[in-house]
Amino acid sequence: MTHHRISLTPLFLIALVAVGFEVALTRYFAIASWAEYGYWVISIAMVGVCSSGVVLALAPEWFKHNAEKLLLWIPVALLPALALGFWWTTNVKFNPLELQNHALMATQLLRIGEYYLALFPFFFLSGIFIGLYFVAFDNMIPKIYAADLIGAGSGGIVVLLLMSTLHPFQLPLALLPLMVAAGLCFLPMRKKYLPILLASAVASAAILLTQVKPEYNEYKAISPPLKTEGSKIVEEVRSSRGAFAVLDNFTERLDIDLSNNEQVLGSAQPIATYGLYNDGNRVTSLAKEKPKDLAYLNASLDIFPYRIREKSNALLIGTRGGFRIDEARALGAESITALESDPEIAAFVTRYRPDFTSPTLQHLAPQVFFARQNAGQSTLDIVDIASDYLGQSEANKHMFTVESLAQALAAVKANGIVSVPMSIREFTVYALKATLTARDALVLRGVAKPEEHIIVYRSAWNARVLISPTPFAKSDVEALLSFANERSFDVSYFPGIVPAAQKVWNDLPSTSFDDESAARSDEANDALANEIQSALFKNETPSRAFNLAPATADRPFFNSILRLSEIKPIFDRIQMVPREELGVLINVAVLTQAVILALLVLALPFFKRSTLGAKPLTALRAMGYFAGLGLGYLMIQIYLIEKATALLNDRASAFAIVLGSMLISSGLGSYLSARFEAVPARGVRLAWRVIIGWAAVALFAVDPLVHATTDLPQSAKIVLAIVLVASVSVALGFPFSLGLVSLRNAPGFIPWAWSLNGAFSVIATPLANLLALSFGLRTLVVLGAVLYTLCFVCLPRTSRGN
Amino acid sequence: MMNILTHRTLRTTGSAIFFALTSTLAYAQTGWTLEKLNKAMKESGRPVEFSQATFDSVQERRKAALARTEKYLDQRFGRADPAVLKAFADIPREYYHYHHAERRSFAKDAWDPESKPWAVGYGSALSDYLGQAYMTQAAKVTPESTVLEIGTGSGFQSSIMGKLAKKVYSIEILEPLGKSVANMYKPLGYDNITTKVGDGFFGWPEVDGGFDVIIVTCAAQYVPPALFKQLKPGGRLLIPIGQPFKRDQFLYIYTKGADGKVTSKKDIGMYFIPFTGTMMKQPKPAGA
Repeated sequence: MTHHRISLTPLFLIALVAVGFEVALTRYFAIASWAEYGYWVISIAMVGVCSSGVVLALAPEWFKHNAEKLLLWIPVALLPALALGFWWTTNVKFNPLELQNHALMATQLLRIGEYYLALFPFFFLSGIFIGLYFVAFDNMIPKIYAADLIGAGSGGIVVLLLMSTLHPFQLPLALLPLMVAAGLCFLPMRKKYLPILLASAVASAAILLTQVKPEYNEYKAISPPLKTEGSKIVEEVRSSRGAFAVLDNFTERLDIDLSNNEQVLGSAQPIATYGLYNDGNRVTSLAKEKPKDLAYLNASLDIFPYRIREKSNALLIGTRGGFRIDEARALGAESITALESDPEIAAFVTRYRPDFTSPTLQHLAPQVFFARQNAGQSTLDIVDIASDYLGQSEANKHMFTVESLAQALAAVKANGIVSVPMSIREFTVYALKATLTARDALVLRGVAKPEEHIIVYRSAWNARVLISPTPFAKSDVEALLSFANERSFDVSYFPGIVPAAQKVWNDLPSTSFDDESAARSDEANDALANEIQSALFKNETPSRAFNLAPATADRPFFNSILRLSEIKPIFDRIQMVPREELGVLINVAVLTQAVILALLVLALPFFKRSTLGAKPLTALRAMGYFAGLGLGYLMIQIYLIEKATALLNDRASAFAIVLGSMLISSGLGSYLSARFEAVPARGVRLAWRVIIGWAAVALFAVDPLVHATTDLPQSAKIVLAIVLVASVSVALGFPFSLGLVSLRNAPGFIPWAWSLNGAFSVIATPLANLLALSFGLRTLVVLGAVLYTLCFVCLPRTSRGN
Repeated sequence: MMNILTHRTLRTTGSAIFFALTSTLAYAQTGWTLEKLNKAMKESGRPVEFSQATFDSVQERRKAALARTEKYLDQRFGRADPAVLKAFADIPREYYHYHHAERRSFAKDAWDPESKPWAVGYGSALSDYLGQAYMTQAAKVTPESTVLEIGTGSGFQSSIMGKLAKKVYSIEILEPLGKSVANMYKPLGYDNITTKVGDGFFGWPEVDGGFDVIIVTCAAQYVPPALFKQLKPGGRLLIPIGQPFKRDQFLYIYTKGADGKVTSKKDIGMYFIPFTGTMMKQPKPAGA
């Protein structure tokens, strides 16, 4: 059977549904489990897609012969595959906590295997559907790839838009009509087709509506309060930033760190509040009414800067549900500006505290606020970052970089204070990293002896790092020691401290993966005090397992501190790893699995040379070419997502805009590449030049651009992000389709190359994340440019050469 | 060196003999049988009929688990507290191996060699018995102690405390779990444990004189102030931090001084890899 032309609409729709389902699954995992595990879904999806490429490569002629029949019936099968796959997924009894327990780990690994089984059929069938187009209509490759990419990009955008109206658990249901539409494109091909297609759709919808009852994982923060007597959800908001819920129950209180001493606390109690949750994780407290009694405040860890800078002009970064504004007023601040950078949280705070209006409460990223301050006008006495700010939103990590803290330092008066919070409940070294980041911020501001500008004090569970443009005065230190002593808090660092001379109220042993017999004495120990001394004055860090290099704009990952070279001791003591660090380990797990998958795909030509129909040299060139494309594309994509996050101060929008505009632009590029079908090498060379040029400019221009445009309106920044992405993505769409065009004389190679590209895309995602964590984001641009250069060299040439 | 080894061996052997005798005696006294287990399960509102084979296999594992517990406490604290060991020997752990949300017993898994945590429903867990033994000994409960437990959970820890203390109060925040577990003490004759469903944030202020030991199984960014008020001077407040199953929990031990000021100790690695790993090499926790 020969095939010449076919409608690309079904391909567009199935590509859209495949990526849409993938995004919907990541949302499901973020809520029912933990967001980090949603990342695993991408690799599960790609296993199905890559396998389909391998199967197609093994019998290309058979698939070509049966293409029309298969294209007709696959949408019918995809409907139940999606419904049953999602139903099974929601029924897997996966407990991520048990994965961090060697005694329970094996069972959980089997359950991850269940996810693979549940989701494999859908992604395999959608892969076959898309791959069939490439195999059966190889005269249309650039257009096919364009439809595939534009469909995939649209899928991400459609699902992210749907999140504003649908609960994440309902998203798969919304994709069913699109699959029906894909099937309807083939009408009127068979008389009985329509009733079967509709019956399949109805049955699938019934499964999703009646059998799928996903719930929050019972170990998420929202679960216990939901099960208390009289607990109720008083408000729900759905957005691309997550599923927000406001809970009213007797466990919800203002969650702040207080002294345990009765003399200070008296009869004061933290205020009863609502609890705000996002995807089941507690975000902050919300006011039930305007608080009347702030007597607890005297016992709070956070108040010290206000004690030594009275009648202050304070900037609050994060308002802890608005309560921080009340507290700053009660602490004597004369002028307060409060920023909530996350739009959803800002909206919640405004709704629950309508008495707070602009300019007191502003929805603004701190970097924008600092940019709007005129240079040289350092008017603030205190910049106070809320204790829950870092964990509230992915974009908030940018406030904890050297550059942002330097901005904050520039905004305060000479004796002003920047107060940085850090949890030490699980890893003490987070406070050490905050101290080192603060030190580098001081250096960036031109401070010669930064150690004289730093104070660190703490309770058992939280630390505060204070920095000032001028050295802290002796009176400040004396006030701190008195403040801490009254409250049984500890002072871990001040200029001139002798750690051994300090009384320790809250014993804090060091955390280490290195030494199993970590020495511990009966004497109370302040590991943070000792570690700060070693780091500031001897340039030593406490453990090989931790990379405590300060967070920067190029490496803005505050929490990801585990060093990959120490993965063995870390895995041996995986139970120690807090959730903030799980992303690194999951990246390693996904990378391992992806490498195995890629090796299997790579090996295929050596077992099936006759089927694939190309010479060994061509196979080798194709390997380098399509593997390089898979790796290079994702390197640039991950870089752009991170930069767009910094630009827009919003991870969800950045993801949607970069994913959507990159895939659609690349699709457009693929479409345009048809002009070079006769001379693919020329098209690839043109694309390579554009990519290399873009990379060279990006390396030096993107960071300054992000910094310089911080103050632009959000809409202008979105346009800027799209322009930045599209300027390279059109060229990125050329090489893949032109590479496939070059392989037309070896039909088995086309699905194999497609599969190979997919397998290396799976490798690229965790690899790019790990490289960015270790070496910074610019490394990804350099590597991307190198990989595309490799591709340019390796372009396979079966059309002419074989 | 030889002397040290000999001394150590003798002491361990002696304590093992003591433990074997006391535990045998305890079981001889209580006369725990299959019939009693089935009867207690029924009376606690959880009618489950176990077979003799299941019962026997659990009892067989129990002996090894108790020996493991003793060795563990010996190595962790220098010497296992015989009273703690006796409490563990006396309490039929299989009775608490029950998933309250699914109304399903998993008694057959009791006294598992790995000392694993087990889900009991509603997000709560029956902690691993080695961790529970560790925390019990660290709490330094005496027969005169009044104990408050925030987070009843499976009811096993409060039963253990009941064997050691004069009186135990326990509060469970999860309503369905708290109501179900409240029925479990009476069938075993444990009459010094009082429970309620509610908010542990305010402690149990109605109890005159306060508490010698408070165990808090969940905490936010701070320990509820009311708990320190209700803690007697010199009393100990223990908070295991970390989520169930993850086995990364560490223990915060707060001590209230005579002047009301509170000091805390972070006891890292509470559940670190029993027997084979770190925990065995570490000295006893300070003040434990």
